[in-house]
Amino acid sequence: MKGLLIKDFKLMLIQKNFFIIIIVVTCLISISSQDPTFMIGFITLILSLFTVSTISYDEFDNGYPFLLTLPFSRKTYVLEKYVYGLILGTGAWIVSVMICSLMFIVQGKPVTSDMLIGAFVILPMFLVIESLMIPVHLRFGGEKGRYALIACVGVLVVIGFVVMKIVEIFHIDVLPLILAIDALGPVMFMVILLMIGFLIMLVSLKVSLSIMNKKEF
Amino acid sequence: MLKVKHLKKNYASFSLDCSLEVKPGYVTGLIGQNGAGKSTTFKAILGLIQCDGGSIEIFGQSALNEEDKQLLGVVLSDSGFSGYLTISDIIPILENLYKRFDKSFFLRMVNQFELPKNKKIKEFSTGMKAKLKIIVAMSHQAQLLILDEPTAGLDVIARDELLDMMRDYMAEDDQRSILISSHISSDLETICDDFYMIHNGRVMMHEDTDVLLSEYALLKVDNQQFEQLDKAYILKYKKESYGYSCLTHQKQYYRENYPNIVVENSHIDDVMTMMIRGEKS
Repeated sequence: MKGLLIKDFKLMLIQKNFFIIIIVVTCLISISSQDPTFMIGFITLILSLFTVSTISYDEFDNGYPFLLTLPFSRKTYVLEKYVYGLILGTGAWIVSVMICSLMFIVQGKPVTSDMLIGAFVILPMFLVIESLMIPVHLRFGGEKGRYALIACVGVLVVIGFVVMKIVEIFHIDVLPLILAIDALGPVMFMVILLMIGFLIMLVSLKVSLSIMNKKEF
Repeated sequence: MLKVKHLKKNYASFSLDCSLEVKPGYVTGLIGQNGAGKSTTFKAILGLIQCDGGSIEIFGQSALNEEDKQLLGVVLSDSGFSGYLTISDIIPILENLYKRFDKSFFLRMVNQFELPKNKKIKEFSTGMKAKLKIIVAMSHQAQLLILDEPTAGLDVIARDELLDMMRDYMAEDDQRSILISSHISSDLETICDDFYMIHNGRVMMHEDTDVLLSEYALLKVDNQQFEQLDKAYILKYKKESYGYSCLTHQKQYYRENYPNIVVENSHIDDVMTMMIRGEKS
């Protein structure tokens, strides 16, 4: 797996200029908007896109057949994409939290629990996005994957809308749920969200493995 | 080393049913027209496609696992490392993937073929890409090389260099084997111990190269000679402007019994053309 990780980091370095521009622009937006927490979500989510871009690089110019003759299994290939995504996402999250905290300190603001909660919420979001993007790109490839991803997001929005409508039409009282979440406290709530995120990622991993095992090259 | 028995793969307009064997210490060639089933056979052996029937035994196993792949060097005609990588990028990748990656050999070959280390592979010429692919396949002490059109796009000198590399590779260890396909038959004649001819997904012929070059011949006869010819040892014949050309695997028989007919030594190209286009006698 180490060799595959090296390959993906080497491929990511091709886009280093793009990455530097994103960091600079994000820092500038954060400074001008007086809201440094923005960058945590933005940088983490942008970095998670790099995982699927390595899938596109792998398939560039019919690269997959040769790649899969190298000494690793299809299972290792899929696992590596998730490991790479986790390294990249958590790495980007840690760095952006550090930059954000530094900006708070420079601006003379205290690092509040609100900022930390805002930062932690990004992690399960990142897990869900990675979980969605990796199987979609493995199944449909880079080009079609983009459209498939848009379709997936569309479906999720529709599901959310339908759930809201059901709640509205049937006058379901969601207040006890909100109170129950509130009673958990922020730490427990974050832990539960993270666990849900990892659970979704495990399901996604299983789906990706099934997609990869069925694929012909 | 490798045994393929009635490997089946069905597509809408093509079906493969192929059997072949690569013995330890052998260089085995696979020849055939474009679309004959060579690449499908290679892909099935490498586990890149699922088979619809038959069996593949490679290194004594029914499927390639990660350990077996350490013993395998592969060149695919239409696939290689991502074009966005450079040779400098792929060295640490190979070092970490292959337990027996020989970095000094790899760099020596890269320098010998004057390949640029820091240029993206997608900017390489066809010949440079072909050279890199074969260097990669040979750089980790593989026991079996599976080479699909490794010399495609190379000039004569580069082809000779690569064929020499293959000979040196085989000379280092008498248990090593190569399965190679090429549309340049002269390459195969000089390096292969035996070869399989595949056409429309079926193996038409399996023969030792020595036998092919010493026993097979093309008889060129006019219409009258053709009528009088003993066709017991004629494999295929074809109508020509001068009469008939006939492929035989008993050259000496016709030389001795028909001193007046033209007997030409045959090469793989001739045999392939006759086997595909000729009529059965």
